[in-house]
Amino acid sequence: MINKIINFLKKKKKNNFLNFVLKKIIKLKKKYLYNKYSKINNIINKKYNFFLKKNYKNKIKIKYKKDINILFLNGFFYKKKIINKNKYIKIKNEIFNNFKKNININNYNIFSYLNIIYSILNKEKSIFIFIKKKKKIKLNLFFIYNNLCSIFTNIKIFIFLEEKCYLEINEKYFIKKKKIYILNNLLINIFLNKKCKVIYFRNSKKNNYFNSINNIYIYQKKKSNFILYDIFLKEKFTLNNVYINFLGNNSLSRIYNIVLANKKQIIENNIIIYNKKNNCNSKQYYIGIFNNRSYGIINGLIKINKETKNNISFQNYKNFILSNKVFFYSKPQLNIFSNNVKCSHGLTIGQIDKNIIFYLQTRSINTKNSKLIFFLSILLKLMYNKYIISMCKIKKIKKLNKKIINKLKKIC
Amino acid sequence: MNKKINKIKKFKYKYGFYTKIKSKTLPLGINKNIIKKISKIKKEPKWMKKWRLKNFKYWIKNNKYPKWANLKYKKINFNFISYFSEIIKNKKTNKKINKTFKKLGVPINNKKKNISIDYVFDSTSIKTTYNKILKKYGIIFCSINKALRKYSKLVKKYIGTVVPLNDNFYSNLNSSVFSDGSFCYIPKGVKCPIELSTYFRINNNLIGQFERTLIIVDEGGYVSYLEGCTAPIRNNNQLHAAVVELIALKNAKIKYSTIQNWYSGNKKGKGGIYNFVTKRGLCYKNAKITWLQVETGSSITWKYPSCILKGDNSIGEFRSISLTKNYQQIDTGSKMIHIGKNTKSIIISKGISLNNSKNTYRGLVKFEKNSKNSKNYTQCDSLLIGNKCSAFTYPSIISMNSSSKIEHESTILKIEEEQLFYCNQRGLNKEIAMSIIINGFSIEVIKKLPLEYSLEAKELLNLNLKKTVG
Amino acid sequence: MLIIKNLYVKIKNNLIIKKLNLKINKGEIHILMGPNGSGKSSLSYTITRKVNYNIYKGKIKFNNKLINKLNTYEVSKLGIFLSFQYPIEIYGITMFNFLKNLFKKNKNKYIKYIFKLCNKLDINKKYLNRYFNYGFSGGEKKKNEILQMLILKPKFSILDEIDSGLDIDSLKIIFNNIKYYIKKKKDSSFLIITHNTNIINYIKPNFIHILYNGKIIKTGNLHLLNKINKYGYKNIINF
Repeated sequence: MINKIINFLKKKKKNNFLNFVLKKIIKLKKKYLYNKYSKINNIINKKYNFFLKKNYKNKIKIKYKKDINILFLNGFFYKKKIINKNKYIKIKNEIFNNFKKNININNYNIFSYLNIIYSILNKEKSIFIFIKKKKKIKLNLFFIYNNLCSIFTNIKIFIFLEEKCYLEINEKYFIKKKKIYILNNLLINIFLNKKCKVIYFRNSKKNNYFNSINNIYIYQKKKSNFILYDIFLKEKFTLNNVYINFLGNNSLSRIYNIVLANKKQIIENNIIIYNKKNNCNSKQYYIGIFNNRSYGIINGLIKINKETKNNISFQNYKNFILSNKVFFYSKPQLNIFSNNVKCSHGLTIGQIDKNIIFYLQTRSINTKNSKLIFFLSILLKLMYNKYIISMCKIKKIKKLNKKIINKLKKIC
Repeated sequence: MNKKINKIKKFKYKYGFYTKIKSKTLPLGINKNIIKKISKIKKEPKWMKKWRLKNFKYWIKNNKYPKWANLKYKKINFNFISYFSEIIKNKKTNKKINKTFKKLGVPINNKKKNISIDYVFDSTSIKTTYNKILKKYGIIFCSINKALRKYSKLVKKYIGTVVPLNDNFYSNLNSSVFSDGSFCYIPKGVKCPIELSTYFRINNNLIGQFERTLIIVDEGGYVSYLEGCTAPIRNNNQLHAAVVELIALKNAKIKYSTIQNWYSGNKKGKGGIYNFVTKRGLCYKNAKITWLQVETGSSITWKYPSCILKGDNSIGEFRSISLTKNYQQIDTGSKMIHIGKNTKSIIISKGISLNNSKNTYRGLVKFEKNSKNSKNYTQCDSLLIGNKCSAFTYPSIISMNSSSKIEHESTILKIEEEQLFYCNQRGLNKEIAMSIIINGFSIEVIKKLPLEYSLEAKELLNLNLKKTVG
Repeated sequence: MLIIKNLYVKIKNNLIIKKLNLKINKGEIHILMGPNGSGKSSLSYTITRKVNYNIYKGKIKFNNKLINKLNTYEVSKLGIFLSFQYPIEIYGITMFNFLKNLFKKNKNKYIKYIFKLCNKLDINKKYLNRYFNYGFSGGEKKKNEILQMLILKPKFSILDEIDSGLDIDSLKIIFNNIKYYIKKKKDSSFLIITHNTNIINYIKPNFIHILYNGKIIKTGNLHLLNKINKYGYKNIINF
């Protein structure tokens, strides 16, 4: 498919920007698509409808939540609904070109470039959300699909926060027609100014025909906090790319990933953290439980620049493989150019602790339930974390827990 | 002032001298004729010549220069290297060689207690000591050339089985032009009573050293083998591309230690040995292979001693310390490939970077589908001391079954200020304090070395530290 | 011997010691007490010139030499010893090897000397072959500190909570050794940081100081100790 796009671009009249993107795509093509272990090739080479006409026939009923709601229908911006009208928010719907000055797009990955090209060729506009000083806001992103044929959608969202903002982002997916392939290529840029706090909940998609490529770029200034909370339960295929750039001192980020995969699910994670300033603190926690024929990849990279001080970075990946047909690959990497750091990564692939199972069984709990208890104890430790609790309501976490428990019951 | 100068002189690379000696050197460049010539000089059997040419053909065909390593250096011109240099043996040269090895601290005639040494000077093996005792036990320990002539069948059966034809660029080159190395065979049930070792010395200016080591331990046998290496100080970079193959048959045990002290280049990063080594061991049932390495030398190191754990219950171990200074670059690590059931592997890699050096750990742990109940423990720690040094870790982990266990830990640290403060408070200066802390950091590896060499390794580390910290 | 004048100490812009004055003469034993977090350990680190303990104002003189700008190593060479409250562990270095480094002269006789001291301190000789403080109990670590003091023979020693976490037998042994050291080297002086008022059963101090919020708020003799025992720190601070 990518070759198609390249050929298509080559024929077209080009301006400077298009040229630049084209070059980048050609350069990055090998690196991504021919990655030894990634399954992206299988997904991307399927037939999708690339340039789809807008389809607004069906009416959509959604319970709107508080603050800002933005709706996408079949990959296009559809509607915005603001409850509790707030003057300090601007939502624009403009062509990407206008924002490329604000963000350095030199280091994007290939899917982000594809996303941009798509918007230019299709003359589709991107969402630009601007939040003013010291506001506390909830942002809900609704992705609705009622397509009749398989589609490839590209969505761009840019979020700029002024100083001392607080923002909670929720992703929600509604898929009307089942058994139709969707590939969603999402590009999100979040720019955090001084002392901003952002918590991002990425809920699982509902349909197992849903494939997604997520690209999230975070730019953090002084003393800003960012928390990403990812749960992968039901999607067929996910390629999740997270890039965190520390542009200011004393910034902090936490990334929590929970992967519960069974059947033929493919879940790939790439988490990359750039430390360019001093006293930055980042921690990643990843728990993966794989069963049946599932396929898991987790790659992490921590990069610490020259002449930075007191950066603390930490990766912790815990994995449980329950079936002999699982394939699991991991590459936790460190690139350290400064001698004043504390970096570590720990990765384990392990079994269920037999002592715990034995203990539970003597309390007349059956094997399945004792396994469940064992996994829950690990997952809950992650869920009720002080950073998460300090930034959102416990109700919310309880809701998420229910989903996780349901999935765990299926896996165990 | 004078004292200071003396001190600096003391810390200079001790083995950087050059011995003027008459030798026969083949012209620069690589082609079929050169390979045929090498084979002819060595009086090799025909199959060997064929094997070399096959390798060379493959090398020419798939001549892709590997770029994936985290190393920066000028591309090597393979036509500016002489692939063979042999000393013309007579009384005069013999004396000179004896003198050289005496200066290096490993005199040929004064036999070290309980260590049999094979001396390799440029492209040829000079002498192997303690031969008689070894013969008693039925142990074969000689240069690979002698083995090719005398034990042709044995070599033919095993050579190239662990490192196959298409393995990598440098192993392929080595297979086509290798000149000498060690061969060792331990018969069934024999536990080798003395340490075996090879001492490599590069002397000639334009020569590349391509040595090949093959160690076979038959069922139930045991051997501990050590290699040591040095080279003179030169302004140009010299190539050293070796292949080491270990084969541990049922219930056999091999311990392979390396103390690498090549010339590592001057303070500006000029000169030094380029070291591209392929080391691999194959474990059959219940066998065990241990790799130990202490690395301080060579300006570029590219080395991944690996274990293929083919048999059930086999064990692979890799323990390494690498100390880099000036502009040295090290890209090292280990591959553990678990194929059999109940296999175990341990990787412990410790890196210490000083000055502008670059220290990379690259590893692979793979559990195949049938490798049930296997375990791996990996620990790679780096200590950063210099202001401009850097450390990288690239571990890959693949698991394809549900009953295996992997634990991987890796940390990158600076020297703990609390420890330094404590030592300083006890009136120990920075130099001693650092060496105490670093000895503690590296003890996991050093304590496993053969007794005779653990002291040597400690001294080597301390000496290299003094050069830069003191 | 040690004179501290108008000392202000800063860590990361926090003043932890404010206007502290202290004078310790040759052969004197001082006890420093005070509630938790009052700056006792910080004072000991400042005297031994730990990094980050910046002297913002004031002077510290030892034997008429200003030590404000010296580093830890140079200070210890002058003969100042600090027994740590929490001694560190060094994995991989045996205790014997570490102690060997502390000797300057008579390197040949040190083995006998260490054995002699071990007997005195009732340290099992097996510990000499273990890694330094690695897996030692609290009491063994503290004994190790005193062992090093006896080897280094300092002119001035700061003992930071040497008595915490010790059983009665070990406490007796440690103070007997300190006493013995004082007898042998009469001009050596001590600053003992402690919470334990029973310490006078073992050693007779010349002065007792109470440190609070980085300041010495009271100095006295043995009577002060009785007061602390009766009323606690709080009441004394409020007086």
